Amino acid sequence: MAWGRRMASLWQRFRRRGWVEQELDEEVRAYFQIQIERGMARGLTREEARRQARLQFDGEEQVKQRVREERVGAPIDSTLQDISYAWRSLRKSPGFTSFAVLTIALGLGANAAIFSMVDGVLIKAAEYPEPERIVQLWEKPPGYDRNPISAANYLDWSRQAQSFDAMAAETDGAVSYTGGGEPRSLTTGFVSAPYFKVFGVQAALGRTFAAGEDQPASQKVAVLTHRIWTNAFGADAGIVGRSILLDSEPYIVIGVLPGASEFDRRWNDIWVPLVFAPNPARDYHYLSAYARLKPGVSLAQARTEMSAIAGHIAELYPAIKKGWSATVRPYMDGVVGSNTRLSLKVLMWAVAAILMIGCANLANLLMARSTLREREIALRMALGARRGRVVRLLLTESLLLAGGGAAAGLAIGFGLLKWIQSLLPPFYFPPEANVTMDGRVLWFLGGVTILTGISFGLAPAIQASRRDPAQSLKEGGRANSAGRGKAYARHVFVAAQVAAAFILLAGAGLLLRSFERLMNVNVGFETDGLVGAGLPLKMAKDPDPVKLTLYVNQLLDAVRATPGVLGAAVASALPLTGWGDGMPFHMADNPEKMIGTGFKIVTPGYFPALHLRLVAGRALEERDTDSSPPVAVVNESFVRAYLPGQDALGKRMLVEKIAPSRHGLGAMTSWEIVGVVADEKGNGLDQADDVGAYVSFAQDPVVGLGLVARVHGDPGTMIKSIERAVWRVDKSQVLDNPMTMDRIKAESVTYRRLPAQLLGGFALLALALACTGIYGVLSFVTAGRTQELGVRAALGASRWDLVRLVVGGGSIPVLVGVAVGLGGAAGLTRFIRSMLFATSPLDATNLAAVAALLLLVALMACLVPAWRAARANPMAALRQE
Amino acid sequence: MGIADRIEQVTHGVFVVGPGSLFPALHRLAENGWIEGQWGQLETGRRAKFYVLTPPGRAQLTKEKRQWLKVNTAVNQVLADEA
Repeated sequence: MAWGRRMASLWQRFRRRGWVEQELDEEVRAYFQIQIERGMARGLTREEARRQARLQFDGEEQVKQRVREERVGAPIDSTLQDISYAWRSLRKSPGFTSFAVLTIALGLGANAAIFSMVDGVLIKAAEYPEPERIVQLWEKPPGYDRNPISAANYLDWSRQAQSFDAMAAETDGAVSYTGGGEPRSLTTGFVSAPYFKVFGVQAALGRTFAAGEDQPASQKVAVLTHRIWTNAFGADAGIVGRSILLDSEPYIVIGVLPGASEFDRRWNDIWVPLVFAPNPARDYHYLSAYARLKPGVSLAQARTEMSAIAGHIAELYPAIKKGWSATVRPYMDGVVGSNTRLSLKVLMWAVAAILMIGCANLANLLMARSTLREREIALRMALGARRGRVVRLLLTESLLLAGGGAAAGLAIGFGLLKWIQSLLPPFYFPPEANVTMDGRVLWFLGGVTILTGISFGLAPAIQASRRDPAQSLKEGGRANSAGRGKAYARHVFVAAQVAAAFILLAGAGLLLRSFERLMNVNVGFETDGLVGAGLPLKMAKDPDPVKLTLYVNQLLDAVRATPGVLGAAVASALPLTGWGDGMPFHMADNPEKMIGTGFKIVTPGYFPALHLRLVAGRALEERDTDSSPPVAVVNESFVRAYLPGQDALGKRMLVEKIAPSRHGLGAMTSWEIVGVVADEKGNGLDQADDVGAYVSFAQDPVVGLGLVARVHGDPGTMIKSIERAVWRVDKSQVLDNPMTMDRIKAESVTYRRLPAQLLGGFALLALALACTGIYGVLSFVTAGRTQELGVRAALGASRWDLVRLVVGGGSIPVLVGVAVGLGGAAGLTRFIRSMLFATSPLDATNLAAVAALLLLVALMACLVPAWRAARANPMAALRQE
Repeated sequence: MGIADRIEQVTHGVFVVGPGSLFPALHRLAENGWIEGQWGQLETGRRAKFYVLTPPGRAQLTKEKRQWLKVNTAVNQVLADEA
């Protein structure tokens, strides 16, 4: 009942606002009239009676205001009122408003974009059902935790382990698909049948692999990702059940995986069962393995069981497995690399700092504005607005600004995210990372917007409402004699901005310097004019060494015969993409000591094609064949690590050959070292360690090759010519992902370049914001001191004196900020130590350069207001009085 | 006006209710439907608003009175025990 009345009252208030107000006015006026009449009855004059009534009670307006505030719906009403006031007041100063909105938009936009990535990569849960039950398995050789698994071991594990609902092995490769037009290489996941059961993924169309489909005798089947189904098969729903040719063999498509899922963000285009040869090798480790824990089985239980199984295998095969165990780790723990994690965290802190700098800017500007608006605010309070109400009004203004900024920031953030994503090489983030600007990002943005509005608006609002209205009105609006507290707060804000900008600049400086040094690292060969591509071979499953050698030589002859090709070779790994294989070995004269080396199988043309410098002896040559003695060439790191101070030539190293199929090791072979070459950066530009040995393809032919060629002329055109040459030998032969060596080099360091460039950009933005902050505060202070400066000029101060006065006043918070920033940078940059290359976090040049840059820019920001002050005309300034 | 006077009179000047408290209170009661205001004339001939209790208002008053008595008694008891 009472509630109904209230709603009716609310309704009436909005419907008949004028009438309600009039009633109230009349009622209150009547009250005061009666008071006055009573006073007059006591013998006072009308004037005196009115004064008495006013003194005794509040004014009429205050009383009315209080009634209004008591009414139902008052909050809605007054909020609407505040918004319309705020809107009007902001529209009156478009310069300030657009500057404020732009500042917030930049800050919030950067936050929205980076948060989308942080959320997608680090926070959001994977879309797999119960992802915490998925584990990844490794072999654990002595002294190392995570080694790939040999096929024989995997088979034993999967048969014996009881802790898992499902276990699956995976190895990736490429198959050529010749269904439509030019042959096309599809990246392929070769997986055990239970693979999709491990991840809990159902096919969107058809089905995934059934148990037993990974057995040698079974029908060849394939599962397509949604991506390749759309790109290469026209999203044809009738594809299920149809046969397609992969590496010239028919496979039945049995299913299509769901779109926009992890499996669409994976490298692989297509999935086929991993079929093991009978009695596969136990000493060639190339498999990854995943498993899903049974419900109720803990990680510790699984670990215990796997250690027991691996321990048993070690007893059975002591020659190759002595001391080996197994590692079980939650799959999700390994999804995001520590580099990515740290980069994202650093970027998130950077954008938070930018937002903070922007907030400090706006807080300062709002404080300046509220000084100018003191009369307006005093008037409002004199007319009955209470302090809380004034604070609310001013806060509404800042929230309105923040809201406008958020709307613009959303657009900026969206653009920034798209731009960053376009810079990322494909598959940069793990497939589990779903980076989009979704509802979660909007919620985050909404929360941050409100916090932003409050954080830059609250202090100025409270400060503005604290003034005594009578005082403000009396001062006649010339109240620029800002209180001490206010000036202090302003300087603190400026100092904080400068400090934050300093830290960001210092961090960005370190990363950019590291990156520059990295790019100037001597890679050991000439990247210019070098192109490379993967060379997936159809005969990969069961290669015959003779046919393999013949085919590869045919391809190389065709490529070399192409006009513009200066040299060509195949190698088991392209330059700058790792060594391909790492092999344990020992020197013939020291059989006790097992050591390891990168082991690259190349055709002799590799050395001249790369312009790899020969240091001693000879390179591999055409005369090194399967019938001549096995020879190897090692690099300088190899000599430094294993043969220091000795003559490497003529020494022998004992390493197994790699089987042509790469699914096992061949005969133990004694290779004579015939040459030493300069280091080629194999393990990445940032790795100092590049111990490696080269053997001839003719003496150890394998699949899993890449093609390199040195070309003359435009690399893009030359790649096309090389492709055509290859197709003349075999029209179904594909070149996988052909690109220039410069691009391979650039992509190999994207994970360093991107954070460096982004942080650099953010640091510049921070610098610009801090600058406008310094400029704004100083302009305002100087403008308020016009009279003072005029008096000084009149009393004989020179222009130079005035400039010094203003710049001196402005530089104190800047200096404090630089000092704090220096300390902060010294403390914080060590957290990015792992992102640096050949650069100390306390690099003195970097810190000095940042300090100099900041001081210079701050000085420029001071100069304009100082110049204006120096031109103060004493007469004009004094006339303002 | 008459209400404020009456309160002052009844409480022997302990409670003096100014318009800043009185009007908001009246409007709140009116919004709850407990009192109703009507314009009338004072003996001096001036127009003024007169508030009367509505039946729900009377019920609410009884309730509030009872509540107050309960609280008041309790408080007195506590104070008596203290003494």
